[in-house]
Amino acid sequence: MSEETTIKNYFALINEGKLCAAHCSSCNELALPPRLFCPNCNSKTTNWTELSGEGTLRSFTVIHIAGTTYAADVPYIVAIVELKEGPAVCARLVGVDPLKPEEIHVGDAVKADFVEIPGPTPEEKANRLVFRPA
Amino acid sequence: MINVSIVGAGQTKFGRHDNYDLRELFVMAAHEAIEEAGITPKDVEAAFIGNLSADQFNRQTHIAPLMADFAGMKGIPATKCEAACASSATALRAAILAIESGQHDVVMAAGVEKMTDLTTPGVIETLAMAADQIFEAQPGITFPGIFAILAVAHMAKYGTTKEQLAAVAVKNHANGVHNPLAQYQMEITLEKALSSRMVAWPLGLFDCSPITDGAAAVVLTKNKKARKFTDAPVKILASEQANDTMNLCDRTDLTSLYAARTAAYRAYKQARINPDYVDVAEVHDCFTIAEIIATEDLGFFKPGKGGAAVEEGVTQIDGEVAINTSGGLKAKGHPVGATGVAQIVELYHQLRNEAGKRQVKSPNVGLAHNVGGTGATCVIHICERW
Repeated sequence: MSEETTIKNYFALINEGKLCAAHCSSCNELALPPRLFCPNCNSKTTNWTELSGEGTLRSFTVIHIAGTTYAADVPYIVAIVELKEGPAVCARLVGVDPLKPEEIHVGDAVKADFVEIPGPTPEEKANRLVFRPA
Repeated sequence: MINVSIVGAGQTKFGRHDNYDLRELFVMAAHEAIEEAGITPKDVEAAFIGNLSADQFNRQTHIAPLMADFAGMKGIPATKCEAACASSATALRAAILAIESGQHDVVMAAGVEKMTDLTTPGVIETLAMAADQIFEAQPGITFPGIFAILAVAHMAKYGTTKEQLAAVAVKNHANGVHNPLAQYQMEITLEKALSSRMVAWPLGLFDCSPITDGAAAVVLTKNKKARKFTDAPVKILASEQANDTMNLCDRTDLTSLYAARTAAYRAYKQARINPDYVDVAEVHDCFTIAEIIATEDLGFFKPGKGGAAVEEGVTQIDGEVAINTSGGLKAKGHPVGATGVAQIVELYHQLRNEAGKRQVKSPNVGLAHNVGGTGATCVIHICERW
């Protein structure tokens, strides 16, 4: 995992089933979304660190009216998940009933998972990062 | 210290305009502002025009010269400013700085948006482009969804209730009744607000500002020259802007907007006032939770107390600090790129005591709080009666 910490490489890792953050070798800051320069010390982030995928819900919503692209998916949950290692990420929460949001709480433990979605060509597969209740 | 005054203001009716093109909406607002200032289009030396996305809504780019041309302002520097829903507040700030620099004496700041040319799903998708397209829009976030996430965090931390959110909509609709240019002139009940169709839980339809067409414009000049244009100019005391991370996931606190707190801090300092001086404020209530957070970020109420304040009537027209007398984005409407200047148009009328039935009693100081996108931009202007 020595590739440049670009967005393209981040999604290539997601497609391999790995959730990674950009790791700064100077100050140990983790950046997610990945950045080319460390948001803490501004030095060039040089490597990827794979994250455990364990985290808690910082907040969430249930989308009932979506844009054109995801209109068929409603209702679905979008969450901000705070990962154990520090960074947070925006992703769908699955495995819970989107029509019972009262049963979901800020602070709930969740775990990363990957669901297959259509790739750029029929032969290529892609992953979408999601979270499930831990 | 800023030495710029508003000497003319204009705004179209906000709502659905099937019979007018984007440029015609602009021309109507621009001409009203120019007439108010007692000048002609040829007297305007530069124009800064806020617009979020004529490219998506109307398949039109390069709109600044188009707008200036049709408004009779050929030849001048005309520049589009884009900062999502804060586009025209950044246009106003650019216009103020253009005068402050000594480059120009008479400058127009305006905003225009015609959203109803697209279907509702198209509008939702276009607005979501003001969030991080890759890391937020791709997982499926929508704009109501962004503010719903803030609402859930605010509710979890402070116990803010759905009833308090609905109270914002009830108040702003009550104010909109008295604004002939508002999209909606109808009161709503708390029950109606609470039972509306779910958009992004916990936000229902009545927690959301509508899809709107409209334009607003102001004419600015140096304080020294202002009296030549009108007997009652409105002075600008502060113009400040701040940014924040684009992604919500990069913010540890989802109950407040850092950009708003930062811009407000700087603006109060620039105007040499504190929040107690503000009599009337137009704040960015794109969603009901946004008004509650705004009143806390602006220092009118302590963090977590904004919900109770609206429920207690503190922010009504006759309250301690009148919030969104125009009806706010909720009832007046939210043609995104026009909203920032439309807020200033309302303050202009309030500070000149010409706001009719929604007039606050002799206000001295007005504040406008315009938020771009997810709160990645916030622009604050503070105005004072002459």
